[in-house]
Amino acid sequence: MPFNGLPLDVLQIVAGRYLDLVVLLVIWVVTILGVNMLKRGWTPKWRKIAGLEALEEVVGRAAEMGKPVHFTPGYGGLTGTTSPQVVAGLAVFAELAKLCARYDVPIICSVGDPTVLGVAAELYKQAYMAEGKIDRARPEEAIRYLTGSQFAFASAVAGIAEREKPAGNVMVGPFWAESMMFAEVFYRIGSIQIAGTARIYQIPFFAIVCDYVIIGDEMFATGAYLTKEPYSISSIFVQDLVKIFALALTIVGLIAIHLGSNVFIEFLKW
Amino acid sequence: MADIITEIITEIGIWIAAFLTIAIVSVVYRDNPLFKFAEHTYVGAAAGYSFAVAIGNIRGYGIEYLYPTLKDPWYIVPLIIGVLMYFRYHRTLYWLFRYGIAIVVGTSVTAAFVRSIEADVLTQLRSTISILFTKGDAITILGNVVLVVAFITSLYYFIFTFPSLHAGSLGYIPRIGRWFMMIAFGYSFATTVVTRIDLFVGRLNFLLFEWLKLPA
Repeated sequence: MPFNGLPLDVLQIVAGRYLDLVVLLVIWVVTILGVNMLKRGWTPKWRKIAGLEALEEVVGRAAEMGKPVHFTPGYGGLTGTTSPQVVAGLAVFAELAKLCARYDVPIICSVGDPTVLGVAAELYKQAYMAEGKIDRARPEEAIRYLTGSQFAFASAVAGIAEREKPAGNVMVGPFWAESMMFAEVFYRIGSIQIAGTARIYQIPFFAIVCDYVIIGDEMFATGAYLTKEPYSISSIFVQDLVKIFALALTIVGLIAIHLGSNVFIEFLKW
Repeated sequence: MADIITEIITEIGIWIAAFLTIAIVSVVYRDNPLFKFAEHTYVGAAAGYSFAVAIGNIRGYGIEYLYPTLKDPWYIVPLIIGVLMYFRYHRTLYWLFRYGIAIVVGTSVTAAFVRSIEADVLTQLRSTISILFTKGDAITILGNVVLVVAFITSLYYFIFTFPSLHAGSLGYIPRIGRWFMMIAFGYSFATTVVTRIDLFVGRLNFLLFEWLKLPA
């Protein structure tokens, strides 16, 4: 049956995309192999990501000051091209909520998308449950849907910052022009800040104003880094293998093209 | 008569816009009732608009394809997924909402991932290994060398699970990568700040010349 007027032959592989499929399949197979190895006791070593190591510092400071911690994954949703960033942000939120539950620090999570609202509320409840403090969970107070409109969302977050003066602010997710407004207003009220995004034009604002920055791809490693969950660790390990392969291919490809061979470029066009 | 009414309405619009601009900017001083009013008006209007759009989407993409005539039965699938989301508010069946979320997250992340293999990985690799260090003048060659070194060292920086690649003398490679990234961020920051100043000047122009009607 055609879907929305489209014939089913749209499902055929487009010429020039065979390598995409091969890469996808290789990543999938190696990830599964990696998970099996992890289950047998193998654990890859990690280099430290300073921004994530500092989460305890943020919560500790808030506990000492008797103030809340603020978190936002931005106003992006779980659909569209920025959804992996929102998912990565929610992984950080899950860990932050656990730390807040452990040290009895109130947490405020500002979201701008209704689909994120439900997931954030679930993660919040699970965090309190994991710490044995479900009776203290207040999802309706902690998880706040503000609005899906960019600058209205920005002004609402600025309002929360000005009125509730959180001791710490963590922003991990996709951010657009509102990034500087958030970083600036939380800086002014003296919050310690950790920020991360894969949106390259917004990283400079975070790098200049925030105390810790999670740069680009580091953000996608956060889930595995914090949860140590086998599938996540395996996927990061596989991504690293792909990066090492890409580096090797770049160097070999550059040597080849200077020797007059286009073989690697043709391979990448396959 | 119609012209006068249009003029009055335009003037009222300008006054409201000017008032809201000043009210929002007043947060630079501190939180105050003016800012609160503007913030709540803005958030309320945006939320109301989103609600209206959502209702339009449910009607346009959900109901009109299925009722009163069945135009395309496939549209029952997103409708069911959408309905699952509302189970979050049900005391006992709330777990059903997780299926809706799982489908939405799974399909979105997968679509983004598949696209990024071509757009972010293969295209980038193709472009980088097509660079020739022997073509063009000295500046072009130097630019190409910097580009390749920046690409290799920056990509190297993002290797997480092989700490030995970040230790000893190899540790200089990601450090160089970080420097390149910081230089790129500095450039990007400067460009964006200029754009923001331009936006600010735009608002000032509005206040001075459209609202206060000062001679240009």
